[in-house]
Order: sequence, then C-alpha cells, then structure tokens
Amino acid sequence: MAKKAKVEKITSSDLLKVFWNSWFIQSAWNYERMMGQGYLHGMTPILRKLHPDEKEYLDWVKLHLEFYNTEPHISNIIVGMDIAMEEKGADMETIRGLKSALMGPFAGLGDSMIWLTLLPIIFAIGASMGVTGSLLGPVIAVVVWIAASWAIKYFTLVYGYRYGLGMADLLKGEALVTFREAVSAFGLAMCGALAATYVWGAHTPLVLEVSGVKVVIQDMLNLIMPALLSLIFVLFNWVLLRRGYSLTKTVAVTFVLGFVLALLGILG
Amino acid sequence: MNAIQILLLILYAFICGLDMIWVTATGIWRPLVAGAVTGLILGDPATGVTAGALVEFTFLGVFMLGGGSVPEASSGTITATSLVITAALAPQAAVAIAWPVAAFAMNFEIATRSFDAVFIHWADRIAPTGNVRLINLVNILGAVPWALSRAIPVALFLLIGVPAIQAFLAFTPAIFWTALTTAGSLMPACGIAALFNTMYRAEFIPLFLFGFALAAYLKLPMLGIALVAAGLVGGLYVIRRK
Repeated sequence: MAKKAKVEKITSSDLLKVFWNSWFIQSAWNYERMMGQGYLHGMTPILRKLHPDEKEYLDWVKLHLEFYNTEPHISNIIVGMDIAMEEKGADMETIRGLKSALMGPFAGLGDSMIWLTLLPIIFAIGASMGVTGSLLGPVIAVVVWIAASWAIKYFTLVYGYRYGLGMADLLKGEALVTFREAVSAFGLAMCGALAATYVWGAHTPLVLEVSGVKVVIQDMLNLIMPALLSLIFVLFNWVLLRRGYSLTKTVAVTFVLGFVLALLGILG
Repeated sequence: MNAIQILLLILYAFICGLDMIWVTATGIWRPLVAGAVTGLILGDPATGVTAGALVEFTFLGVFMLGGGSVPEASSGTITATSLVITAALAPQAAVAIAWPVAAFAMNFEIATRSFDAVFIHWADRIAPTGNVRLINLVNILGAVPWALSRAIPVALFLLIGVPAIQAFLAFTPAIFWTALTTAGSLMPACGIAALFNTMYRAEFIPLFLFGFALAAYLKLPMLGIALVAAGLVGGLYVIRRK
C-alpha cells in the first residue's frame, strides 16, 4: 500500500478523545469477536485524520472491527503504538500483526497486575474498614480505584503512543519482571494479613471438662497460634483449588463443611 | 421493601452491569459498594456495608479473565443484602445467600456473551458506509444486554425469591440460621485462598507469614499492614534494581 501524501499530526487532545472512547473497549463483548468492535470505537476520533483518503479509510474501519481481546486497561499501550505506527504510514498487515502479536502477552500481564492484585487489594482494604458498618470503606475503595485505574489507562495510552515499539521491549525487560515480582510479594503479604483477620467463622465454642476443670479449646488454640483455625481453613481451600477444584465447587465444599460443623457445635 | 425501593435496586443492578462492562470505570459493582448502596436504598446503610464487606472478602480472587465466566458478584450482593435487611438476619448470612444467587446470575451473563454477537454483525453491515458514529452507538447499545444480565436475576429474586425465602424462614428452627451464619463467616477463606492461589510463588511464602504475623500477633489494622508491606517490598525492589 502506497504511503499517504500528508497526515495531520496527532495532538494530545486527540489522545484524550481516544482515552474517553477506550472505556467502551468491551461494551459489546461477545464470544465471536470479543473486543473487536470496542477497538474501532477507540480509534474513531482519529481514524479520519490518519487516513484522509475515503477508500482507504473504509478499509481501516473494517480492519479495526476484526477479532481483538486483551486486558482492557493496558490495551491502551497497544492502541498508542498502533496510532504512532499508522501516523508513520504503516500498512494494514503490519498493524494487524502488531495487534495480534501483543494482545496475548498483554492480557496475561494486565490480568495479573490489575484484576488479580490492584483491585482485590484496594477493595480488601476498603472492606476491612467497611466491615464495622462505616461507609468510609466503600468510599475510599472507589476513590483509590478510580485514581489508580484511570491513571493506568491514560498513561499507558500516552506512553504507548510516545515510545511506540520501544515500549514493547521495555515491557519484556528485566525491570518489569522485577516489578511484577514486587507486586506479587506485596499481594501475598496482604493475603497473610487477610487470612489472619477475616475468617471469623473459624472459631470454636467447644469447652471440655477435665476432672472438674473447664478447658476452653479456643484459648488453647490461641496459645499455639492466634488465628490458627483461620489459617487452616484458608490453606484447606487453597489445596482444593490447587487440586483443580473450581472456585464454585470450593465454595460449596467449605459452605457445607462449615454448616455441618456449626450444627455439631464444633464451630461458631 | 416497597415498590420504589425494588425499582431502585433493579436500576442499581442495571448500572452495576454497565460499570462492569465499561472496564469497571468506577468500581461500584463490587460487593463492598453494592452492599452499601443496597443498605442506603433500604434505609440501613450500616448493615448494608457490613454485609457487602463480608461478601467482598469471598469474591476477592474471583475474576473472569480472557472471557471465562465466574459467579456474578453484584446481583448476589444486592439480593443477599436486601434479604438480610428486610428479614433482620445477621450480616454474615449475606455470604451464604449471595453465592447461590451469583452462580444463578452467571447463566444470564453467559447468554449475553453469545447474544452480543448481534451487535458486531450489525456493525459489519454499517461498516461499508463508513458511518462510525452509528457503529459506536451500536457498540454502546451492546452494553444493554450486559446490564440486563444483572437486572433480570435481581428482579426475579426480589419479586419472587425474597418473599419465598421469608416464608421459609418462619418454618426453620433458629439453629439453622445460626449455622448458616457461621458457615457464611467461614467463606472469606475461599476468597482469600483464591487470591493467594493466583499470586502464589513458593519463594514469597515468608512475606505471607510476615503479613499473617502482623495481623495475628500485632493486631495491626489492614491499612497499616499494607503500608508496612509496601515499605518493605518497595525497599527491597529499589535495592535489587541498583
């Protein structure tokens, strides 16, 4: 495909429009083409500017409706790179290759950092405040989540555009691996804290009478280690998940077990 | 619950669906917020936020990734919190009610994931005209089935399920509900285990123990532990990069 004669420069207000539209990336998500339609939605504010020729423009509209699926926040790195390359006159094969080559790795990276670390940690801290009945918990969680996730979505777009393909190399580099490890390590420390604090049901009301002396079992367990039963239940659930139990099945097993133990007076 | 409250709850479920599919732009579909809003609508925000927080702990590691479906948290939370408040149950019982509802609501989501292909075919037909405004409008419309996949199960439960469960309540002995509450307050173990499982790396076990000890022995609040852990891990990260 021939290079275009003249393309207007993409401005930061153009990128801002792309940012707003990028919230609709999975609006019509379906099994057939997943985020295909949403990708085009993100590109529409600048597509005409990038491809002034009508015939060519229509071809690009079709291209951006093709199958696409990745993590919807950091998807904007790919969008940013795409814009930079289309601006330099990249052909359709190149852009199709860019999108399909990057969506897989970025899905894995984004899911583990955003949906499995950032969001759960923010809402776990909010829930720890909310559990006493304070509305401050949900308010703080929402404010922090909006600030963090909007910043990620905006800056991935801007840096993706500015540094183009250099960004992809950076994301495969050593610095990011170390960063991901640090995020996981932090997440696991929070898991430990949650495991010790929020499994209230893991408490036994059992009292034994040994030659006239009452022994409160929970007190004895606390002497061994506080929150020991909580830890046991979390690890029990983890073992089930490791064995390939689905989450719903794990929930069902724990629920029935807890219900029966409570009826027997062992938990409560 | 009066008719206006039921309508507001169904509308809220609808908005939760929009928020979720529009990349969780606000996070209001999370159980913590859904419980609080349900409580506000029903005039008991304190119970609502407590119930929501408890359900939140069980949904911590529960996310659909890449297109798989998982039990739908917001419809489960809205229904369960409504029942807890109207039937004056312990907030812990919300967890036990939220999960079955969430698992039921998931089927509506799976149906939506198939149905929404209608919108991409519609867009395909518009594409040759180059009318991208219309294509974008169709894309936005594609979120409606997603929103309905939350609103419909909530409507079904609020109109039929909750009165039925309340009638059932009158016939069940008290020990049934105490046991249900205990089982419910055991469930955060599942959410925490799911989160643990996604981040698990054998070499990071010491950090898990570190967080556990700060909470179990030193009784630090969660935000305090987050700051201590972030300081420690952040420091180690900086040293390692040098």
